[in-house]
Amino acid sequence: MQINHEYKKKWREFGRHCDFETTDCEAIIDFKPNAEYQSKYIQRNPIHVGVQFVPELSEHFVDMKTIELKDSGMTHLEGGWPKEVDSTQAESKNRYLKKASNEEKVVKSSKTIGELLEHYVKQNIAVDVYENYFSTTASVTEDYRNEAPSAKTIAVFKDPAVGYKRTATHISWLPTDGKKLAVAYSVLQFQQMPEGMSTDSYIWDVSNPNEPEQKLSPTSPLCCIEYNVKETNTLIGGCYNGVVALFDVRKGSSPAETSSIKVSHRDPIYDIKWIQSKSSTVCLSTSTDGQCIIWDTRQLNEPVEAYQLIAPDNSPNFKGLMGGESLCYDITNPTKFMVGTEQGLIVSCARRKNKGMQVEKMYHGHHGPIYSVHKNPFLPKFFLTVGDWSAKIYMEELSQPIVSTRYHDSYLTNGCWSTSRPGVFFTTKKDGTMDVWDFLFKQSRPLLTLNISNSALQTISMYNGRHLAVGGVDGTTSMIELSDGLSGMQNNERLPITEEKNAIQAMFDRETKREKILEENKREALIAAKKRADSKNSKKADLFTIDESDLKELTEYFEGCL
Amino acid sequence: MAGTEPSIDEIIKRIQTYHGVEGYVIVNSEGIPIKSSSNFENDLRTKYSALITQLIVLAKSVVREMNKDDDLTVLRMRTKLHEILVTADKEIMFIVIQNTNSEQQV
Repeated sequence: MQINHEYKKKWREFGRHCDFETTDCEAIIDFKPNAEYQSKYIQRNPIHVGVQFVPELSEHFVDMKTIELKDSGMTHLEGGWPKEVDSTQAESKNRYLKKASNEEKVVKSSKTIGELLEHYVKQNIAVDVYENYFSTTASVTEDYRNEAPSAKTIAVFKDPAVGYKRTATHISWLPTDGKKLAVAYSVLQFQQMPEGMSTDSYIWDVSNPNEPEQKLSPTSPLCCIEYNVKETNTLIGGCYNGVVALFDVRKGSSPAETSSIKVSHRDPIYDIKWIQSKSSTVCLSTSTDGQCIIWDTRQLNEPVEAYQLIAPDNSPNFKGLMGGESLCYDITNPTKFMVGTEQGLIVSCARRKNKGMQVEKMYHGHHGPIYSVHKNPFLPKFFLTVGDWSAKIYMEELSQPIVSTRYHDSYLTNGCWSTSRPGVFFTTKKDGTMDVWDFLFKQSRPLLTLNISNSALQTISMYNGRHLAVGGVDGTTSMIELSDGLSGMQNNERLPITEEKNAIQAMFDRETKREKILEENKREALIAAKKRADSKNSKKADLFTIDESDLKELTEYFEGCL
Repeated sequence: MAGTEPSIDEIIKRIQTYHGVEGYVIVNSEGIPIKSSSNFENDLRTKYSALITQLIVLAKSVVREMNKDDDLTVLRMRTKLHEILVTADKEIMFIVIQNTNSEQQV
């Protein structure tokens, strides 16, 4: 369809100036809508053409070459001589110097300045202006007991295992510096170990709580682990299947040696400790199968000695085989050790040459398995035991506890003494709290109760008086730092504890005396009752029967008084 | 400037005899060490005059800025090993290094 419009113009009118005038609108062409075309019209759907009216921008970046800037100084070896002096010639320099020093102005001012200077020099000689006057006297130390005791968690190490929860059953700090800790993971509930549970235990570096530093992979999960104090590259671990495994940090994650299962324990090894020996390769393990076995790690296929924890015949409370739960070994007393048993008794044993092990004394008082036995590092005659719902302190010579905490609401799982303050000890409980007791301050209640985690706490281990690690049933190990007051340290130095030690010793001695007197009284009462029973020839040794003749005497006396 | 007044050399001699004095440098207004004690080698001399001149300029400006009427009288720099005493005015600067550590009673 073409639209054309024709108009005519004469040739001589071309080039003339245009003269426009307004006219009315004139419809030149009018196209009406065509119904046929309209019916054929299809709307385009979808539309794939984008229409947008925005300014178009483009992005471009430039990476420039970095210019290195450096600050540098210059050392002048030769002074800034004026132009006339040739700095290389000593003579001209000297000449100039002589001239300068003889200038009038110089001479005049040098006199005044010189005198002034002399005055100050003399002053220096007379008095040491900057002397430190009070440095020799001891700096005033704040009495740390005034500040409120506190403790805070500074690091948390989570068990990397996913999908199941393993308990952190034992913690051992690297003895040289407290920068690493070895944590043994296992599941102690009977037959609760999930299929395919990893048997790994880890060594954590304190500065990196996200990832363990080293993995230790025995064939069976470790229930306890200890660093060797003399050779800090070796660790000994007790497995769930009763086998002892020796690890060397330098040799990789699988055990360097394991004991053969025939001669090992028949129950999980609950505690293992290194023993004093010339070669520092001897360790002692205990388990609920009633055995205490001494191993030499150079030859783990056979134990050095194996003892059975049998109560001696004269023990009043218990007879027979006892299962071992916890060990206490003190290097200062190398032939003796103590075992806390499943039956609630603590057994003190001595290892004698050629005579094997002899049970020396048994301590009772607890109603449940003893989960921790720990000697006070400052007063070795006293030891702390944790079991059932209370913690008790015993004195070596008495079989009854001298101090006993009250029964708590939740079960106590582990405890240890502080290594820097003699009267402080810590206990962990099943409700996830840790108690800090300070015997110097209060004997009836813990000084501080810390809520460490929501799940039960299983084990505790103290490094120096300031740091300790607590392991929980959910596999998290928390590292806790104590305040100055609790750790007895200030600026990382131990404050003298002789006063405290004496006070605690006096306290314990007083309690010991009390117990001794009570025992004496009981014994006397028993003897008296026996005597009376014997004299009456009756089989019952009843403390409360009154003698016939005594009764007569008394009634006569009474009637006489009326 | 009568003869009764001590000359500059006498003052220097006297200062050197005092207890603990290790040496001295006298610097003129252009920063050139015009006199110094014999135990200072050339480069040590130059070092002292160069570094201390700068320091004195700064110190003077500090004092003047704080208070227009104030002026620097003496600058004492106590270091671990010794003390550097500087007195200065427009023309000249005296630097004395004195050892004060082994101070005993007079």
